[in-house]
Amino acid sequence: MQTEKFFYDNKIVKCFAYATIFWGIIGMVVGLLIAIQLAFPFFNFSTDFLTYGRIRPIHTNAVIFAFVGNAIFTGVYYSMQRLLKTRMFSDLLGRIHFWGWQLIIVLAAVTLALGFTISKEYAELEWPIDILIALVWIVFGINLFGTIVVRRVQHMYVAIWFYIASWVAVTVLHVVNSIELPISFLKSYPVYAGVQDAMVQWWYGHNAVAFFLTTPFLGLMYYFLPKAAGRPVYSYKLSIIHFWTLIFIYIWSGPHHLLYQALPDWAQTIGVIFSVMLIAPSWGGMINGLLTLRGVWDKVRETPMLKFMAVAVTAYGMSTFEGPMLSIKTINSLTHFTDWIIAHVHIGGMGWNGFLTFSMLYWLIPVLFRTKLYSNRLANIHFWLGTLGIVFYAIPLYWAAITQGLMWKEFTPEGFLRYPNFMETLVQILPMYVTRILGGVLYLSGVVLMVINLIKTIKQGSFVAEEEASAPALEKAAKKRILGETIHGWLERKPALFSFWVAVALLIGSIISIVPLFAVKTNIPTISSVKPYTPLELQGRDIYVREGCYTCHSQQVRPFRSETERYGEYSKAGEFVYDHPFQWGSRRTGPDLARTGVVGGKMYKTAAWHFNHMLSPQQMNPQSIMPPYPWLIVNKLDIASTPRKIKAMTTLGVPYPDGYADLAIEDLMKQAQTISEDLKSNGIEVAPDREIIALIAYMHRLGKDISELNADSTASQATLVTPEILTDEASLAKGAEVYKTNCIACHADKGQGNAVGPNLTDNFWIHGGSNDAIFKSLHDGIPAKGMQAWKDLLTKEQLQQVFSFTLTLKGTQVAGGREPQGTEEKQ
Amino acid sequence: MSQEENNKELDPTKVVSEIKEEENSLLLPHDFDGIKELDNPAPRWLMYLLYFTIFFSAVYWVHYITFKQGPSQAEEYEMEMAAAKANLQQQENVVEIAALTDEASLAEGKKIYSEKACYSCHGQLGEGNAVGPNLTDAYWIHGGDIKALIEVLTNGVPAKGMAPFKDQLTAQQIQQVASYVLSLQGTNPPNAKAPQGEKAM
Repeated sequence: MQTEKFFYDNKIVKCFAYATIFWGIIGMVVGLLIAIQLAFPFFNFSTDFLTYGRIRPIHTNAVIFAFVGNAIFTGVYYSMQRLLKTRMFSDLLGRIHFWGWQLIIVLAAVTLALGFTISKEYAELEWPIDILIALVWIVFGINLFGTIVVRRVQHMYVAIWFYIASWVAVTVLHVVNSIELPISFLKSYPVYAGVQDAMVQWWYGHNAVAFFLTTPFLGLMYYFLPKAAGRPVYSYKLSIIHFWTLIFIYIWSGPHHLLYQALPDWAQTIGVIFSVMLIAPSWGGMINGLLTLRGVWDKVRETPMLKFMAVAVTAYGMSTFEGPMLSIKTINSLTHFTDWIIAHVHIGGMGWNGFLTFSMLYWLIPVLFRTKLYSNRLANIHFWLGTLGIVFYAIPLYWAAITQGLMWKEFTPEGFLRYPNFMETLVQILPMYVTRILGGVLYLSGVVLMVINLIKTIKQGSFVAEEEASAPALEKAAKKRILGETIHGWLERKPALFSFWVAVALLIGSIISIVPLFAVKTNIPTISSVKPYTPLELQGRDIYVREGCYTCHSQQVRPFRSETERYGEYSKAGEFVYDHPFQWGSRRTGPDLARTGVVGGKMYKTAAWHFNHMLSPQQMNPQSIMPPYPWLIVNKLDIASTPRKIKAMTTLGVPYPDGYADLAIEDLMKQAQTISEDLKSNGIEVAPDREIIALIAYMHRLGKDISELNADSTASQATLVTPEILTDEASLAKGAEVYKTNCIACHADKGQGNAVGPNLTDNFWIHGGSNDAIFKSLHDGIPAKGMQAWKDLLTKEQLQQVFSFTLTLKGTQVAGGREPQGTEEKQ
Repeated sequence: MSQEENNKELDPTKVVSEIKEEENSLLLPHDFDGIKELDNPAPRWLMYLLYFTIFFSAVYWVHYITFKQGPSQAEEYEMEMAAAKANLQQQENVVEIAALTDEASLAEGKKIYSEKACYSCHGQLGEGNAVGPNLTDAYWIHGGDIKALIEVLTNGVPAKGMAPFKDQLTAQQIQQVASYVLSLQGTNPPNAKAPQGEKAM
C-alpha cells in the first residue's frame, strides 16, 4: 500500500482560534455591561444603541455565534484533518468560510445596535444577514463533506458523527426559522404568527443550544480529551447509543420553553417527556468523557488543559440534568420567566462552552506553535478565577430566581397578592444582580490572563503553517456490509448513508411536533373578536420589536391564580394569530404586558403615564431599573412605510379589507391625533407623528381583544337573563339594600349622583335609559368610566333586585342632584 | 532528555493512548490520529435511567394526553381558582366610613402610601406630578371627603390611570391610607402641582 505525503493546513485553524479569542472578549464585555445595566440603569446612557434591549441580543449572538462558533470551527478544522488524514477539502472555501463568518458577526453587531431585529431570540438578524449565514454555512458544509470524501481513513470517528449531525441540524433549523417576508432592505416579518411562530422559534432556539452549543462541542470533547489525556475512549458502544438517542430526542424538546403558555397541551407534553428522556443520552457524553479520564486524574490535577476539560464536562452534566428538571411542569411554573433560566444557560455557556474552549486553546496554541504553554501557573489562576466567576454568577441568580418566583406567587390570608407591586419583587433581588456582576468580572479577568498567557506562548514558539503528514491511500471498500462487520461499523464508512439517517432522526421529531400546529385548525381555536392591528398600533409594535422590549417584558399571562390576579385574563392561543413575530418573551425582568390595553384592567396605564414613564422611568419610580427611552419622543415615526407594512401583513394572511393599504396613513393620523390630544389634555405637548404615540397606541391595544370578547360573551348571557322587573316590596327592599352597599359611593344615597357618578333620578341617560340599556350598564359595567361590571360581584337575584330598585328612582328628580348628563329619554 | 523524547513532549499530537494491561482485551482495532477506543459496555445504571425515563414518558403521555386522566392546563387553572375561593375566609370587609385621626392609623396609612408606590403618581409628599393630582390642596377631582377618597381608592378611576386597590388592600387599610391622605391637607409641599377639580367645602 502506497504511503501518501500531504500537509495539514494549520493557518485556517490559527485564524479561527484568534477569532475565537477576540470575539470571546467582546461578547463577555458586552455581557458584563448588560449585567451592570440591570443593576444600575444609568449605564444605559439614555442612548438608543447602548440600551439594554438592543445590546442584550448582541451579547447572546456574540457569545453563541462569534465566540463558540469560531471555537467550533477551530476545533473542527484541526481535528477533521487529523482524524481523516487529509488536508481540508479546499483552502479557498476555508478562507471564504472564515471571512464570511467574521463579516456576519460584524454586520450582526452593527444592525442589532441600530435596532434592526426580528426579535426571535438567537435568530434576531434581518433577512439579508440570514441569507449570508445560509450561504457561508453551505460553504462550510461543502468543505466538511468534501474533506470526508477525500479522506484516507476508512471509518469516521465519533467526533465526526457529531460534526455531521450539527451541520445538518443547523441547516434545517436556520432555514425553517428564518423564512421572512421582507418589506425593505433591513425590515421583514416572519411568515409565521403567534403560537406557530413561538413553536418554530423555540424548536429553533432549543436546538441551537443542542446542535450549536452541544453536539459540535461533544465532537471537540471526543477529540481533544482523549488526545490530551493520552487515554483510550472509555466506551465505543456508549458513543453509539448516546449519539443516536441524543440527536433523535433533542429535536423534540423545544416546547419546554413554552410550558403553561398558549400552546396546546399535547405539544407541551411532548416538550416535557422528551426533555426527561434526554437526561441519559446527555449524560452519556459526560460519562464517556469522565471515564476516559480514569487512571489519569493525577495528570488532570497537574495539567490546566485537562482541568478545564474536566470542569467543562461536569458543567455539561449539571446543566443537562437541570434542563430536564426545569422542564417538569411543576418546577417550570416557579422557575420560568425568572433568573433561574439565566443561571442555567450560564452554567452551560460559561462552564461547558467556555471552559471547553479554553481547554482546547491551552492545548492547541502550544501545538500549533511547536512550544510549551508559557505559564501553567497563569493558566491555573485562570482556572480558579473562571470557576469562582461561575459560582458568583450562578448562585446569586438561583437565589434571586427562587426569591422572586415565590414572591410572585404569594397570597395573603385575605386572598390578595402579597406583593401586587411588581417593583417590590425586583427590589428584593437587586443585591443579587450586583453580586452577579462580580461573577462576570472574575470570569472575564481569567480570560484576560489566558490571552496574556497565549500571546507569550505564541511569541516564544514558531508557527508551522503547513504541517507535514503521511498516510496510506484509502483503499476502496466493499459497498455492502462485509462478513463480521457491524451495521454501525458499516455506516461509519458510508458518509452519505450516515448523513441520511442523521437527517431522518432529526426530521421525525421536527415534523411531528410542528406540522400539526399548521395543519390541524383546532390547535389554535379562532377568537372572532381578535382583529388585526390598526396601522398606528402596527407601527408601535414594530418599535416595541426594535427596542427589544421582549428582552425584559413577557406578553403571556399563564393560567395561574397569581398571574391572572396580577395581570388579568390568561393568554389564549387565538389571541396571537396576527402577531408576526410573536412577542411572548422569555424573562420577566419587568411585568408582563399582555393586558396593558384593557381599560379597567390591572395593567392599564394612561397615555400620560406611558409618556412620562418612557421618558424617565426613574422619575415615576426611583427604584425602577428600566432604561429611559427619550428618543421615542423626538424621533419621527416612519409613516411612509405604513402602506408597505399593511400590504406585507395582507400577504401573510392578515385580513385587512381590500385596498386598505391606501387608507392606512389616514387612519394612522386620525388615531395618532386622538392620542396626541389626550396627552395635551394632561399638559403634554407632543406632535402626533412621534414614535412615542405609536408605542402608546400599541400598549393600549394589548390584550384588549379578549376583554371585548368577555363583554361579548356576557352580553349574550345577559340576553338569557331577561331584565325582569320585580315590583314586590320584599324584592325592592333587597334591591335598596344592595344599592346602599354598592352604589351610593358614586350615585349618592337617593340616586342623585355625585362628583363621580351621574344622576339616576333625572330623565337623562349617558348609556341609554331603556330597561335593557340600564340592565346592560349594570351587568357589564362601563369600565372606562369606572362603572363596575356587577355580574362578577352580585348574584343573579341581586342583579334583578338592584335593577328593579334603580328603575323606581327613575324620574324622582331628587333635589340637589347632579346636573343632567347624556341624552334625554322621553317617557 | 533525548532529542526524540523532547520532541515527543513538545508535540502532543504524537501522543497515543496509553493502554493499561487489563484493557488490552477491550481494545478495539481502530486508531484515529492516535485515539483508541475501548469496547466497554455502556454503564448499566445509565441504561436503566434511559429505560426508566422512556417508561415514565410513555405513562405520562397516556395518562395526560391519550386518556385525559390528568387535568388539562385550563382545568388545572379552574381547580386552583376554585380551591382559592373555598379557602378564602369570608371576612367582614366593611368599615365605618369615617376618617381616622389617631397616630397609629395615620402611620399605617403613610406606610401603605409608600408600599403601594402612591408616590409614583402623587409625589412623595402628595404634591402630585405629571400623572396624578396634588393631594395636599383643597381641590378635588373626584371629591375630597373621606367617603369619596375611600371610593376612589377602592374602585379606582381606571380611565385616568388611578388603580383600584380593592384587590390589594383590606377595607381597613384603605380607610387608613385615605385618612393619611386627608391628613396631608394644607401641608403645602414644594413643587406642588396646580389645583385641579373643585374646591372642597
